[in-house]
Amino acid sequence: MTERTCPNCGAALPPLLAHARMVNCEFCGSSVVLEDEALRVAGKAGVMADAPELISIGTPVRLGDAGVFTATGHVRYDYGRGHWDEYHGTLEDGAALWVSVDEGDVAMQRPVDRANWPRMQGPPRIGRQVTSAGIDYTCSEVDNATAVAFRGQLPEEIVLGEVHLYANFSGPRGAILSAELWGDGESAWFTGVWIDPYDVEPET
Amino acid sequence: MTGHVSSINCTNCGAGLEVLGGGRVTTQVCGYCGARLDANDAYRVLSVHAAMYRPDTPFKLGMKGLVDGVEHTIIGIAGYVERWQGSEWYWVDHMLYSPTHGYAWLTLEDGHTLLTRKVRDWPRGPFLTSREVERAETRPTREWRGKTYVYYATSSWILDYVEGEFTWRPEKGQRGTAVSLMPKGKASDMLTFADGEEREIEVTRYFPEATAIFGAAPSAPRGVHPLQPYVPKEGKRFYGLWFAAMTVAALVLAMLVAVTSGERITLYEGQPETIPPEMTFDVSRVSRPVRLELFQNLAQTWAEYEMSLTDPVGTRIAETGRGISYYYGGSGEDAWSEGSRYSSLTFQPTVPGTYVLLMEPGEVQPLAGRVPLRLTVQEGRGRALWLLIAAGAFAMAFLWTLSSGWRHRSARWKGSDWTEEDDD
Repeated sequence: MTERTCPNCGAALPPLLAHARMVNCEFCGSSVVLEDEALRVAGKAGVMADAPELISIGTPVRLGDAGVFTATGHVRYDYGRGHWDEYHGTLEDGAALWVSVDEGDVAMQRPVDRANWPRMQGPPRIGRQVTSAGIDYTCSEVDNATAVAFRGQLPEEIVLGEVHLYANFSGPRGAILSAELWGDGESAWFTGVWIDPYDVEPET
Repeated sequence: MTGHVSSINCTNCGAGLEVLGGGRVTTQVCGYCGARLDANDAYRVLSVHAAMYRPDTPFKLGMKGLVDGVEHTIIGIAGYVERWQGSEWYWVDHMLYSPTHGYAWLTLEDGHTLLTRKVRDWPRGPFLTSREVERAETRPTREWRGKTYVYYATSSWILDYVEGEFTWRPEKGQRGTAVSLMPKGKASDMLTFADGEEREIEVTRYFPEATAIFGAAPSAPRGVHPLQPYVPKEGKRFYGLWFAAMTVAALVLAMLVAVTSGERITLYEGQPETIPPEMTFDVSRVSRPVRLELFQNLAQTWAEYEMSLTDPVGTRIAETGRGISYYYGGSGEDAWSEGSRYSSLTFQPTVPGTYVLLMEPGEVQPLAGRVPLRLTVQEGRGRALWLLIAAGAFAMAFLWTLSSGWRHRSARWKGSDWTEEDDD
């Protein structure tokens, strides 16, 4: 970890984690992106309206049998009717992962190796089937989302206000596969499992 | 999730409607005019239901309660009916919402309250449909979270009433099927494969504390619900032991009475026409009754005998007649019989000594006159029969108490529509 200062206001930034690519300044509310060891201001970190949360940055929570998860970054996406939260953090063994929380739907996900990215003909639509790493998934949800706020430190740059298409695919025994597709043709795939929200408990 | 809007006006009738649910709510149904409103499109009217009758439920929209420590709000009410061979079953689902834990269902069925949640980790095997159940030769099963769930019943429901907010598009008259499975034994949850607009698998558990949690008026459960766990009634152990003890005590007393009864002595055995006009017998104990018993193995006929009994001091203590008749007919389930081949005269002796019995045939049918008659006397006779009846009654009460758990489990599976023939 290295000590840095905010290029916008000069305030000390929190110690940056090894994987951090984006951090928010708690003093001026700027988004700060780390690029080749240099820091760049990427706008504001957005307004994170108060809402009941299962997970909060810095507070360890037990994710069922998966272990204890501590979030270090938090992004909120708006999908029109409401919003969902994505938390980036690590398990006790240091393994990094994303946890998404949307009205009781909790999913723990990691990026899919590019070699296992599904081949998809055309845009995703509900009912479409894809295969990743030998597992069949069926598309259950497609919608647009906008990143509206972030806090903490993230392993990638999130552009607030940018709209992307997301698709959720359901697999066997609670397996989930998600796609994020941007207008410039970029995409990313994540895989993981659903977690019962009652299994998400503060670690004492 | 939303939470910015707390109320709207129905775009059909203008009534004020609370917005209680989250971002996944797609439909709001006005409880005043029955209008279905599109929550994703400025609450435009999708259709209007006329003549919907609110089902009887103690729960209301907006009620809040802690479910497993998490606050949930009742945001929607859906009334269902199932019709089958002239019978109707009704139940009411209440959609629950928690901003952190999502959506669930609170069901009111025959006064019992149940909690249902969506299952994400589906059990192995294909989705169980009613068609697959019909084709199955053995009771379908599924493994889930280490337990084996066995087919219970298929329900074909019709949506009869809707009010409030829903994460789907409910409409009066909508139909669907649900295939439910339960674990054998004491478990009290149910897996349901719901096949409607979407396919979902849900888990339901018995939730008797619901009315207290949500501050609703208590509901009175009727009958045993399939999900209802067995709770032994207070004092079951005491009553079980008490009935067992009384059974043993009655049996011991009956045996005691039987072994202390006097010997049965035959006074006469032969044709009715050769009965001696006078017979005597000795009685030594006056503490218990004496019984004279007639036996004649009659069939489709009858006989009557005149009897006169005098005690040792010359007092006539009985001047009576006794009849024996026995008829039968039919066969199999239609078989019947009437009368008895036995008849008796029981009296309480007052003095010990020799008693004199005068006996002669009265009216004896020709057929009966050819059948031998046996006359016995037994002194010191006890009433063991009543003790045996008491022992039987106590034993039945003991078994009834002991079998309460088994009867409860049997009642839980009583509603299963899988017949034993299906298992063959």
